[in-house]
Amino acid sequence: MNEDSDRAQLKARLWVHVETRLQQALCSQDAKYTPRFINSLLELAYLQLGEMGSDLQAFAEHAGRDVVDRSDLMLYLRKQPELQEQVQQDEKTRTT
Amino acid sequence: MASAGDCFSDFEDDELDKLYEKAINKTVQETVIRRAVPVQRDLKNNVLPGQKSVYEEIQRDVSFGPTHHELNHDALSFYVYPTNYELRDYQYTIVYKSLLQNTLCAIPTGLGKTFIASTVMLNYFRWTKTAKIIFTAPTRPLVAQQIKACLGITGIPSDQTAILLDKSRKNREEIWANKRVFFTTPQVVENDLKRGVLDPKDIVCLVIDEAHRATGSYAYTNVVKFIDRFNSSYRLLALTATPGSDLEGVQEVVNNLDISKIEIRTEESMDIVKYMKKKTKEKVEVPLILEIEDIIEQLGIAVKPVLRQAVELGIHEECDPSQINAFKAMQQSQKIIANPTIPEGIKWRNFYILQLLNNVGQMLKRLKIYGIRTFFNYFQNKCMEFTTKYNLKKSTNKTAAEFYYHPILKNIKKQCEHYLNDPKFVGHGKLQCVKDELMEFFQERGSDSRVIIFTELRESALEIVKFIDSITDDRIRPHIFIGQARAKEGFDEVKYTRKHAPKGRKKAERLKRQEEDESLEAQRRKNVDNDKFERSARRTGSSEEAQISGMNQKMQKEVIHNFKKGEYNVLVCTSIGEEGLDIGEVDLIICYDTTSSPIKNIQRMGRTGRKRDGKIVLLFSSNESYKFERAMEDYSSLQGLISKQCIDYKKSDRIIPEDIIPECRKTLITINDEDEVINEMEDVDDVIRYATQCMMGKKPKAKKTIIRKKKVNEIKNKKKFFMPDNVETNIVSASSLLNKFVVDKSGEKQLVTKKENTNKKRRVFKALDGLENDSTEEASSSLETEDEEMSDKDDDMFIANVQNLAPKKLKLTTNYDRKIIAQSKDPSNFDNPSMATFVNGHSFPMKSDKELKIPDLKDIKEQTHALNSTGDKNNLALNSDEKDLFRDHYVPEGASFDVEPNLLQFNKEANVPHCQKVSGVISLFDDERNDDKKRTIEMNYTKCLARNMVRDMQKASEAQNKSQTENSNSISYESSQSLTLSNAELDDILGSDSDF
Repeated sequence: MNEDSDRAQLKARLWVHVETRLQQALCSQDAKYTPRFINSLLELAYLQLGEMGSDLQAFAEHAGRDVVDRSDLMLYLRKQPELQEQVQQDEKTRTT
Repeated sequence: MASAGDCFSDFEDDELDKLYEKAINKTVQETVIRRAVPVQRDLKNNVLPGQKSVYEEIQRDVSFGPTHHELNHDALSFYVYPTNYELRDYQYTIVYKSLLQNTLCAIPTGLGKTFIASTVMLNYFRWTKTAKIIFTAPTRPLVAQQIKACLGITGIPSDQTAILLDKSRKNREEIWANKRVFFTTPQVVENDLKRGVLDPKDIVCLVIDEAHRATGSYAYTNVVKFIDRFNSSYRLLALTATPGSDLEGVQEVVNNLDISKIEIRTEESMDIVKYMKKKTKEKVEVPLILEIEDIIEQLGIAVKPVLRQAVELGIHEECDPSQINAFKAMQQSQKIIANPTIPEGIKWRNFYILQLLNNVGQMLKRLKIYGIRTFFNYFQNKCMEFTTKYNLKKSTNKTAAEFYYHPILKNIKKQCEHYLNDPKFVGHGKLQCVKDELMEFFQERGSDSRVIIFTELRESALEIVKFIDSITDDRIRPHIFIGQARAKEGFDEVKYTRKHAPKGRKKAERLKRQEEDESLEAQRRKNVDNDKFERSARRTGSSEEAQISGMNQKMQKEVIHNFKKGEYNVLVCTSIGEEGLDIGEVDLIICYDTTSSPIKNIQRMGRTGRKRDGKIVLLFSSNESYKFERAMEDYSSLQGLISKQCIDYKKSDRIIPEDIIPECRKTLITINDEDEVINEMEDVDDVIRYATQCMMGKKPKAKKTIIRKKKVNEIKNKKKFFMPDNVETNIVSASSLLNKFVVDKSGEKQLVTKKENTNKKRRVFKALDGLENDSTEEASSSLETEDEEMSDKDDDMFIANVQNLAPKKLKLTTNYDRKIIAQSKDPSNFDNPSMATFVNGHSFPMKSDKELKIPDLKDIKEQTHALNSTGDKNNLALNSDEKDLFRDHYVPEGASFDVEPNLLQFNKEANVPHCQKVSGVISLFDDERNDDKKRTIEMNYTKCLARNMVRDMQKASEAQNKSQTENSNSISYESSQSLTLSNAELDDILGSDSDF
């Protein structure tokens, strides 16, 4: 039960983020979205994140670590070089 | 005097003939003579409208070609006349006439029509080698009668005869094919002709019994019409006692059956009279008894106001209340209902008034003609019905209420009950007459003689039976004789009230009602059983039983059998006894009432005076004698009219060649011993059984042949439908029958000639159907328009382009010139995988023409490249062949563009399950597509939480802004902890009406 409520909370928060992101992305274009759309998008995002999480976990384990590291993320993003770059840049701006 | 109807029917026949291109050998030559006739003109010398200026006389000469049947020429020179029975002049003349033309033979019952028919049948049997002869009669007993005559008197070989009554359907085809003489009912013939089991061209002789029924669309007319379409060489012999009730009726029969001559004899005809026994007719006028007159007056008083109202409204004529005619009232009421111009309120009010008058008329009729008991049954029934309905407020008919609740009606009721309780009471004067007659009769003749009493109403018949029984004379033993239908159940008050009473809706009431229903039902059943038991104790028990539930065929046969045996010697019949059944001979007939149909009267009276002298007593009361006289007068004048050539006849096919005139050869026919048996048979069923056995081949020789033939005919014949020549069979679509017109440049319509195969436009891509109204509309509509534009002009363009190609280079100027003639599809054309690109290619071998040269490969390549470079999607389309190919192989059949993508459909060989994410995605969209409730609820829940979080966030941010300013872009990351909600708060949110 606890897990469920946690998951619900998580999803809710994710919902908020998804909505804000969506609004940001769409404010330039003149598009509207239905609540169903956000719901589905949320579910997809949730699934994607879930998969990403398990993948990262697997990578970390494979590397013999307990904690997920940056390198795991880079490995995860190996098929999407642009995203990799983006993440790296983000990181740089953060540390600096 | 040719009626207009006759002209039209002739004309139609000719038209049909022309259509069928003379499939039969009847030629009709029409000569039209026109004479100018002076017309009426107005002052300006113009012809007035509606005037005919020519008088047309149309003369039709019908002639027949030689027959297609195979004739036995040596047998044609004479015809056989059996002398087993005494030769009668009228039979002799009628037989001769019937052989050479289609005859309607109308002689009274019992004078040997059967003999005439069997002689004619015998001769046609001899004259043809393989042709078929059919005898039809409306009822089984009549068929049986004829079989007896044919096999037992004229000696038609029984192994060539067949009896076809409904039961033997299985090897019907075989029977029609193998036998030559058939005894059947007309509906069987009609069905078998339509099924294609019987070939109309095989028929050479058709005998129709009770031919006065050949009106409208009775089976007789249909059979004759059908055969006429294919075959004109067949002889038709129609038999009846009464050809019709008036000239029009007779003319209709003549038209329907193609009759050329009517041989009519009545009881006064000279050549008949010497063969008939004496028939004394006694007409007794019976006055109404006082009690009846009294009741009539009372009814009159009660109905007077209603009648007055009806007269004032103009819907009924002025008359004395005791003279209300039920039939007229009913006719009027039906006319009113059928009239659409009367406003609804008035229409129904008048209808109900007339209905009431109709009921009163019926009551009066019963009183006057039948008796108090019959009247009282009807009266009580109607009263109870109305009062129950009115009390339950189901009917609000005030006029009827005035009548039924009139105090005088109560008086009538009381009186009737009083009379009927008195066992000595005679309900009508007629009953007394009946009693006197019967006593006298049996005094003279002894109890071996038989009596039949005819009446129209069943209740009256029962009343008579009961009355006769009450005479308690052992010599007189009556029984009722009625038809098979169940008597109409009288109005059951209890049932009706229970049905229409306000019912409770609660379960307890329902249960109570059910119990009550059950107990009532049990009570009713017990009553019925009790009644039955009581009835069986009485002598008239079986009669009463019969009156309630009708008499089925078995019962009828039993009663007839007992009647003949002598167990009953008085039979009280309704109209079923008039015609058809072989009740046999009686010595006294009493007509308790009269009908206005002369046919019925004659049929009734024809039951006596055949073998022995007979007596007929007709009981008249009130206006019946007038009815009777009028009917019989009309009828006797009919005979005069017929003999005065007032009927328009049709010419019939002589069949036998013109030069041969057959002579009469009177021979004594020896009947086969086996078939002699049939003469002794009295019972209808026995005769039929014997005949069926003959047909099936009970004789060992015949049986073998049948078995052998059966094995040969193992292969079932294909169903033949007899069509005239030159018809297109099979189902044709209506659109292909239409003429298509194209509007020309000059604005004229041009007929588009039909091509061999019109290309049907098929939607190649169903994919975009679902999204027709969506953003992809452009592409799809362009697809369609392309199809439309291309298909009709395909063929033209093809030839044009081929010619273009041959020696010269193809100019890529116009859109339509860019068609490529390629043998196969060049895969390079599919570089651009977008759906909107089509390649137009005609596959070359499809239409080959001598002048075509195969274009060079170089040319093709050029064009291909040219095509690719333009990449213009709007001028390319596939032809039909290629579309098919494309559709079959290249387009995934179920591609769809749904709002929720249907991913499950294309799982090929899913041996390995998807990973979690993918399966999650799949299940998400599945749920969405199926509108899974659980999923929706979850998502809404999440949204709720999220909204609340946002709210809190906003509150938090406001609070923070009030106190301090902070980095606003990290709100979402840092104040995450304050966003958790407690369960209680969640419930609150979810319980409230949210805006989802």
